Amino acid sequence: VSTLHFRRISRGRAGTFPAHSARVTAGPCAALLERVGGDAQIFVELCDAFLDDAPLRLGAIRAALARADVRTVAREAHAFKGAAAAFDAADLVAVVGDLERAAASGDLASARQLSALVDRHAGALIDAVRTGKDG
Amino acid sequence: MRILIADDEPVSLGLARAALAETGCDITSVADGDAAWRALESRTSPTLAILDRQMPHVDGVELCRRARRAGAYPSIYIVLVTSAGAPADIADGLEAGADDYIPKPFNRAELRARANVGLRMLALQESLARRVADLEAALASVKQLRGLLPMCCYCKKIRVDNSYWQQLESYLAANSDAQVSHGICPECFPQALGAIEDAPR
Repeated sequence: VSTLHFRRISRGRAGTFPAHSARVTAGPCAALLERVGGDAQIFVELCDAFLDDAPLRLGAIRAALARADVRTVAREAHAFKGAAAAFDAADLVAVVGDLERAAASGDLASARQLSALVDRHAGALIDAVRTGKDG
Repeated sequence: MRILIADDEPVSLGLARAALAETGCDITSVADGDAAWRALESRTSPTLAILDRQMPHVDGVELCRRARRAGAYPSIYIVLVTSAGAPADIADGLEAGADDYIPKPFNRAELRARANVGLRMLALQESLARRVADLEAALASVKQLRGLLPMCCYCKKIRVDNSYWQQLESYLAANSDAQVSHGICPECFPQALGAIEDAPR
């Protein structure tokens, strides 16, 4: 198992990420950390952005499904897929992609089934990011 | 230079901002296509735009089309960000006017490198445009003598019209940017010296 280490990098904005040396094992957070070139501050900022946005995005998908608004479901799923991809969350990317395609083709029944699956995978990613962010 | 980043998804938007912060350019970020278009058509329009392919209101491909249609805008280098990796989608974006594309998920170093290519292209374009403008200005100030000049084979005056002959020096001064100074060439010098010495005192 590869392990990425990062330590605090001072950029004059204190308190936005853990002060201690942190260790992120392979997984969604390691993928994102690698994507930002090991910059701990940016990493934490992006984790926070994801943790803020994901519940809103999932809520918007559920609400749009409730009112049979497949266009909004497809658009929100597409955006959420982009966020999940940044963490290399392949399973989530796959099911959100399925949800996007189902919604885009107007298949509401499949979209509703897939939404539950998306919620489950997204919950796991949110937990992993919350844990990984704090090192 | 100014950079516009347009993406409705905050992780990719933040990643792009982080990647481009080191360019030293002014960065504006927006979260939908309408806001991106307002930024593109503003007086302080960006020279480099990183546009997500799919955004609310106006998508990145349509923004490329609009930006290229609006010929009045100065040069802009557009990188389209797409999670759709299908060749047809990529071709659509490039045909619509994007200069480059980058697939999601991208990493910081890759986007920065692609943006730097764009900035180099823009700098080159700007430099060429400046050179062309300089050359045009220089050309406009140059007077050229062309055609057949009727000249007296004895006194070397130029015939300006049928009844008027003008000294070569004054003709050149009037019809070119050349200034004439006077001296005596080595071949003429002995003759000139003789004439001076022979002249009555």
